Amino acid sequence: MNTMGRVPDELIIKHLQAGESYEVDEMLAHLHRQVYGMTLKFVNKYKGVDADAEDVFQDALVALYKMARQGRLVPGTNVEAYLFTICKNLWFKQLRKRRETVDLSNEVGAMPELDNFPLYSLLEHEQQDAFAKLLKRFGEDCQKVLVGYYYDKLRMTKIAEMMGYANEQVAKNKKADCMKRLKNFLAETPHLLDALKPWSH
Amino acid sequence: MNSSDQHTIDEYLLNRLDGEELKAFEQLLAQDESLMNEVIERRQLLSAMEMVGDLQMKERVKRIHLTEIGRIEKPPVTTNPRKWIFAFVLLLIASLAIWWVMRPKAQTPPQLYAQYYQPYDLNFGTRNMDANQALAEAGGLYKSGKYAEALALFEQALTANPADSKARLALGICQLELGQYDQALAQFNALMDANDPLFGEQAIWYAAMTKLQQEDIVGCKALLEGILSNQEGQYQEKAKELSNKLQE
Repeated sequence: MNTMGRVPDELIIKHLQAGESYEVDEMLAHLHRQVYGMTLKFVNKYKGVDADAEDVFQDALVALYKMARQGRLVPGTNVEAYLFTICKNLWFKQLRKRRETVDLSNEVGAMPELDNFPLYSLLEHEQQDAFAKLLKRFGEDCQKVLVGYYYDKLRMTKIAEMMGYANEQVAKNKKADCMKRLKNFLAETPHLLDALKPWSH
Repeated sequence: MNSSDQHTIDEYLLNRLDGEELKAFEQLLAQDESLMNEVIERRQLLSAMEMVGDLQMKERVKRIHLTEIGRIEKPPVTTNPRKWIFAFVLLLIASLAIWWVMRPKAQTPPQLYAQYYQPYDLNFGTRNMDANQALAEAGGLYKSGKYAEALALFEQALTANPADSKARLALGICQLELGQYDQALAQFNALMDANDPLFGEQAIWYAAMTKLQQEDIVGCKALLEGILSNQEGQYQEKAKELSNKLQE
């Protein structure tokens, strides 16, 4: 692990939890510099090509961000080691999916969180395509309001400010309208709801 | 259910309700089956939003990844017309600058004079020693560049014989050499006015040289035109060349 110019874990966690775009991107870029190299080596070592390492690493960064936003990264967590473990687990899952047999018993540490962790990259391709279509059908405003509220966990006042709405109530109404559209879309694609069931209780 | 009720459910699912607010909501949830169903449905929508958020986040992370590994895609080459106009103007300025440095430099009148002027090669024979004694001596002085001394003798000769066009030309050239331009022009004009068959063209040429020395470009060019109008003159080539240089 590259120890040069290391950002303290507390600061990384703080910025990821706050969800402000610029700081989040800075932290993710920092983690990329620290951890991507060893992920690449790891994936290459276990039957993967560079493109596999890129996919795994990007998915791991998404997972890490979500975990931070959900408060799963507690103070004292070694963020870089944690991220690398996510990478290894994701690659392990991928190999299982491909029915590849490799002995990873010495490599992969226990990380039960990921087994029940909702992650787009863990969906089947068909389901991923359906969500990509869903995203396209949303207008840009709906994307920003819904993702801002449900995913980045921003407060409605912050969303109203970000979108230039007159007040919080306007933002709430917009959210309700967009959620109605989401509900209609999911009613048209019931198989998507099935895919989400493991994570919906 | 209005947007505020839905928002309260969202806040509950996002673990943002606390204290009395949370307690009240949970009590209501235990009693109201339709609210419970609404919460279950809402939870599914939240899971869907997680996936949509992941998808967006993945795009963002991909950009970070590409930047970090130095493979950030360069924007396509645009055909912004302003860029082309700027490039054209830049090229034009560069071309003009190169032309300005490399262009043939226009010569000044004194430089042209130094290049084109030389005293006319005059020979004053000694066949009639008595009559031309003074002229022969003047010619010798003229050839050796002693113009002031030659001038006095040519004047004497012309007093004796005003029709001596050769002596008049020599006198004019001596005056030109000595910086007596107006006097020199008077000699050359006299020859031109007389349409002197022997030294008429020489008179025009040296008058042009005098004008050049005076830096009277217009006057010089007008005289050169006179030479050029005569197709067979001996100064044709020089006159044309000098005239062109004066145009630059």
